[in-house]
Amino acid sequence: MRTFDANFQAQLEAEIAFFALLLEFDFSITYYYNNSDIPIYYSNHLYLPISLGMGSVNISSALSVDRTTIELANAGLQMSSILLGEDVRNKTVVLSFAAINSAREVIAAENIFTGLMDSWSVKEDKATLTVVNELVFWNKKALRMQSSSCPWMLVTDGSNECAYSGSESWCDKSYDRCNALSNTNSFGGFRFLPAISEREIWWGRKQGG
Amino acid sequence: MATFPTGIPIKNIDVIPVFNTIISSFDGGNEQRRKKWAFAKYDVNIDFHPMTKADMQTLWSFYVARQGPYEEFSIYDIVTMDHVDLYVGVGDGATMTFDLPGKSTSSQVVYVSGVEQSGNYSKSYNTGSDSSDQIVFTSAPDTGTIITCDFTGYLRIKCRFTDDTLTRQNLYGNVFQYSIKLKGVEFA
Repeated sequence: MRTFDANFQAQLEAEIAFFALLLEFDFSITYYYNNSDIPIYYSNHLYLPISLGMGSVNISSALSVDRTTIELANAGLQMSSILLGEDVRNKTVVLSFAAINSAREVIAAENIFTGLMDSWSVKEDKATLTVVNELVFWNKKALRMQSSSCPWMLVTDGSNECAYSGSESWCDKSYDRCNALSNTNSFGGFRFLPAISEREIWWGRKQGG
Repeated sequence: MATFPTGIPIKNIDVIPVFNTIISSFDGGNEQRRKKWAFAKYDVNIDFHPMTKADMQTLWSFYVARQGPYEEFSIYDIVTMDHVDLYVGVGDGATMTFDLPGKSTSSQVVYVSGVEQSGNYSKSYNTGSDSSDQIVFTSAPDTGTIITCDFTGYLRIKCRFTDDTLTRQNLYGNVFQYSIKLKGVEFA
């Protein structure tokens, strides 16, 4: 069970309150923003005010990926510069909710979502970022299916993954052929998986009949 | 930052403090309110008296120079009033001089992180940006501290033109009429 800081809890229960959303982008440079109208100093970092909005945080007990969306002002093209200037995918994004006192200083802050940059889009006036949690990796499709045959193209100069250097000009991608070429160190398939060439095909209703 | 031209005869001016509050209210009768902005912004509506061509040219040139709503500027209220809890700045551990959001101020009270300051700053008049008054601390406020103030004087409002268009109304001959709306922007 999650326990809030007592001061934070008191602010949540109060009839009136002032909260700000603190946003941290752990890109090659760490950016700190908040959604109020003043700079907020918290945990030795200055969170600059920026026009930003946060969508709903979607968390489910089912096998789905927790995610949220963040919209930031981009009229000054600052977000375009940040997002297009480097590959920000899978970089960490931290969202916290800070309770602010009457002197406009942070009483306490609670993390509400920590995730990884998934996708983003930038328009002329705003940037939209989708942040997901680490379970997204379980939802990724594999880059290729494993098979018993080798995926590499035969070359004779050792220039690709096949790495064969020799005079033979053909290969049927099988382990046997790779062995014949003395090139099994570079075999890219999984030799013990069932191969389509070994599949038994029946002709007629009875085997051998 | 530019300052709105003075001397053009004003017929009527509305200075409108604007706050942003989220209110949750349900059938049970309880209500919760959360403020979104730390400080008020100030919208301004001005109706001018019929003006001469020279005044019209001043206003016209100012609007074009600001490129409509693009560039913000300062405008001073036309009456002195008591103002409280105004944003001055954020301490960074090095800056000692801060502009007050006003001019011709008196009865200044300065707060750092909500604590009233005494004897550790001096006042300087019309020396800040757009002729605003200033305070100079004897030692720089700590990093992250919010500096606020109360004073009596002319409030300095940061704003921009609301619209991308400005209609010039030629009443007759060289007599012109304008009404403008200004949108307050954040102080920080």
